[in-house]
Parts: sequence; structure tokens; C-alpha cells
Amino acid sequence: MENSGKFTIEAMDLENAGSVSSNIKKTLIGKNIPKHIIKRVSIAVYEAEINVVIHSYGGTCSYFIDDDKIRVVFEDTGPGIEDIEQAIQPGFSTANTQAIYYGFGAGMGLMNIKNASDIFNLTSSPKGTILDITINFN
Amino acid sequence: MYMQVLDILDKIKGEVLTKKVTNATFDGVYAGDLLSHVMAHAKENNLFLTIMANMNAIAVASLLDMPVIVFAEDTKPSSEMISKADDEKIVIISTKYNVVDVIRKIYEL
Repeated sequence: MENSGKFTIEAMDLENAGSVSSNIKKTLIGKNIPKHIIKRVSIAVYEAEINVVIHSYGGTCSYFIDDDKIRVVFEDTGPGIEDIEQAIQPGFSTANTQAIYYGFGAGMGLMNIKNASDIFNLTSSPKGTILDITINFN
Repeated sequence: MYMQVLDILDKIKGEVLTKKVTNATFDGVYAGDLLSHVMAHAKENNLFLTIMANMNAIAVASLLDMPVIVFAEDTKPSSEMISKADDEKIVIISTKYNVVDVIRKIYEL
């Protein structure tokens, strides 16, 4: 099983959204990581993947697994988050109609990611957003 | 408390769209359409009850290990969704009833 990997995430590819999180989940199952940890990783990675799909111009997801944790880094090419504090607030959403049609735009994504992560770092500029999260295995 | 999918099919007049039900079971129901709420609150082995018939419903059910999805109000999943659900061993059921009626009928209120 791989200990690291990198995926490309296409903007507005709503039908395929979830493939990155599904892939990482399967990798963790192969490593016998406890179920409740896998659930937290799945939630965080899925929400982050959706954010890149519905809000960015496209980006990448890289993951790094070692004995006691997984680190996942999402990078996109813009347009950035204007006000990170506001974006994290539950219920705040800038999702467009198409994303809402697909069941997104609850305004819960970043808070779900923060709650599921042990380390949560989010930085953003108009040139792109970097979300760097770590989830410990115990 | 675990329930058998076969035991609720008649009650909700459900049509199974995936290959087979066999002995699929579930433990409780989570109903919702906004997927971030589902991600945050649904539990493993829940039956996922929704009208959100697109591929992301399958992805969420798969990530949370929910074995059954019931699409209410005759919302119909695409053939791609059904095939993906078969791959993930998720049972898909479609029913004419709305979300409230499905829950009532499952628990026979």
C-alpha cells in the first residue's frame, strides 16, 4: 500500500467528486487503521475535495501517511477565500446554484473539516488556497 | 436495532434498483439532502433516505459505510449511479412515498 500520493481535482466535475476521498479511504482500510479514524479522514477529505470542485479553478490533493498520522494537503489555483473566518462559520456559503442542485452549499464544509482534523491550517490569496490538515491515528 | 432490507420493502412499496438485496441490513435511518449535514451526522450502517439522486449520494453512503439508500418521491438514480452502487455493495431502493411516510412505514407509526 502506498504511503503517499497525489490527485488532480477538476473544477465543477460534480459527478466524479468523491473519488479522492474514496481512494484514500481504501488505502487506510488496507493499513488496518481504526474505523472511527477512517471516518474522520473520509469526512475531512470529502468536504475538502468538494470545496476544490465547487469553489476553485481546480487543484490537487496530496497525502502522506506515516505510522501515527495522515497529512493531507489541498492546493488550488484560485480565486481564493475572501474572509476565512466568515467562510468557516456554519451556514455561510457562496456555493452557486449548480452546486446546490447537487446537494452542496450547506455552509458546513470547513467546520466539518476543522472538527474532523487534529491540525487544521487554511491559507488563501486570490492566487490560490492551501488547506493543510493532519489526523492522528491514536 | 438492526432491520432487514427485505422486511421493509413491501411496507414502503420499494423497488430495488441494484442487482440484489440478499441479506442486507441497516441500523437506524438518517434522512437528509444537504450532503455536508449527512457527512457530519449520519452513522455507519444507517439507511440513507434522500431525494438527492446524484452520484454524490453514492459517494457519501460509501464513505460513511451506509449499506442502503432509499430515494423518496420517485427520484430516480441514473444507470451510472446504480452501477457504482453495485460496485460499492450498496442497495438502492426507489419509492413513491415522501421522506416522512417512508420513516413512518419503516417504524410502523
